[in-house]
Amino acid sequence: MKGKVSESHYAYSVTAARIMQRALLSDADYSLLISAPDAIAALAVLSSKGWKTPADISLIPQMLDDAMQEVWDFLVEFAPDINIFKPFILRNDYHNLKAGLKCSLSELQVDRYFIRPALIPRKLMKEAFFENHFSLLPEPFSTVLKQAYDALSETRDGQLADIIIDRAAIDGMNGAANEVREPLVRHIVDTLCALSNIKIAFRSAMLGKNKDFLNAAIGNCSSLDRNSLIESSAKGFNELFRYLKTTRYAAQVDILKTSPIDFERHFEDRILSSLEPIRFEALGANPLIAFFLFKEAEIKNIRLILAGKLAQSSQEEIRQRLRRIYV
Amino acid sequence: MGFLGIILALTGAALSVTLTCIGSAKGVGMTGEASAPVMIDDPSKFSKLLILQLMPGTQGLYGLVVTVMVMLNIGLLGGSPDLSLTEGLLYFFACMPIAVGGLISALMQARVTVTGVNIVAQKPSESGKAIVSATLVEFYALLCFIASMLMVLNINRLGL
Repeated sequence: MKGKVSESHYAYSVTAARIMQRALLSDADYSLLISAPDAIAALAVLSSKGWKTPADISLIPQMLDDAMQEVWDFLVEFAPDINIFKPFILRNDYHNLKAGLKCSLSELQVDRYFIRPALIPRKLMKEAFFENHFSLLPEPFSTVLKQAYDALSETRDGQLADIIIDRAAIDGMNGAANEVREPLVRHIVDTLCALSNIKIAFRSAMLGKNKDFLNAAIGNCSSLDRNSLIESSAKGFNELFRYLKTTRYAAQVDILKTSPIDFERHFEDRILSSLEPIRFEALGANPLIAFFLFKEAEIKNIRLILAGKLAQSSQEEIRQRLRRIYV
Repeated sequence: MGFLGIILALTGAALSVTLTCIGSAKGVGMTGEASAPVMIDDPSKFSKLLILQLMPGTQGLYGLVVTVMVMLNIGLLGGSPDLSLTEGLLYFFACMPIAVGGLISALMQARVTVTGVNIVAQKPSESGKAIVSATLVEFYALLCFIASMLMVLNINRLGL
């Protein structure tokens, strides 16, 4: 574990983040976006708020990808210790691992599915896939990829490959968070890992998966007892809900029963709302972590709104899917 | 004996200026660092930021004044320095309020001024409140300064 950077070293970066925060979309901005008649009109609203919007709607994913990369570049330049963000970025690397693996075995264009920011450069990831040279990737990615590739090529079971990578992602994020001396990072990563584990346990209970499957799929996180989660999930929904009622996530169990999508949104909102008091802090890593996560949520919201507009969803449907906002 | 007394008095005087200047340098530096992005974003906020940046700097000045007063009183800046051990000890302790209080208040004030910079960045119209908050911390540095000054100026009256 590396030493914690003194909070006074964050004076510059926190103020710089505050200035960038002013550009975050407000309630009124979201209302304008949601009430826009179509995606083009929504892009015009974004453009008026300083977003670099594309002329072609097919470039929307690129716009959102660039926006997140911009935030990452800012943090790399100004954050005194960029390692505190590593657990969050690892998620993207594992996502890219999954996307690359599937694209390498199909005709799909991998560039469309890779997301940024990521620890592994896109070029290196593509080389590793298309030259079948997994050892080009750093550990543990090369080992995980080899395992997932073998599973996919031998069994043609995409779910098995996904499980291997998802499990590695949970353990990787947890491991990276434990190396960071920021309690907030540990807390958030633990909550995110718990969310992933609960989602896996819920789907497994729905599909009647056995303990062996669950043992391979469910990762470690300190807020859930792994063995109890596996045992209860293997026994079905009722047992799973009963176990979850004994955890700190008891309040969300009823939402999980009715809608797993709402459950995920509620979970993420819970993380974001826990960050709100941090907006008044002027020193330390916490305001930067909050800024990063709120910017990520904003980009996710814009993605949902634009996807909703393209799918001609109603305003109410779009509004229900949105994450909490930070203004 | 006179020599030991002077050493003690000068140690107090040195601590008085050194500790307060450490606190002030740290405070002014932190506030300056925090101010830089705001000035890049909007240079017209420079005057508001300058006031905030200067505030943790005053403790260093208080420390220096106390140091000079000690040196004058013990005759180091003119006259013949002759001090008993007790007098030296008294000067040493007289310097402590501003030395310790100045250091801590400068660091604490810096936290308030950095927060103030954030206020200027987000709501420039509220910058007056940020300055008032920082002034409240200044009050305690001032109390330490007054305490040290009163003690330093009155040690001679003890007739030791």
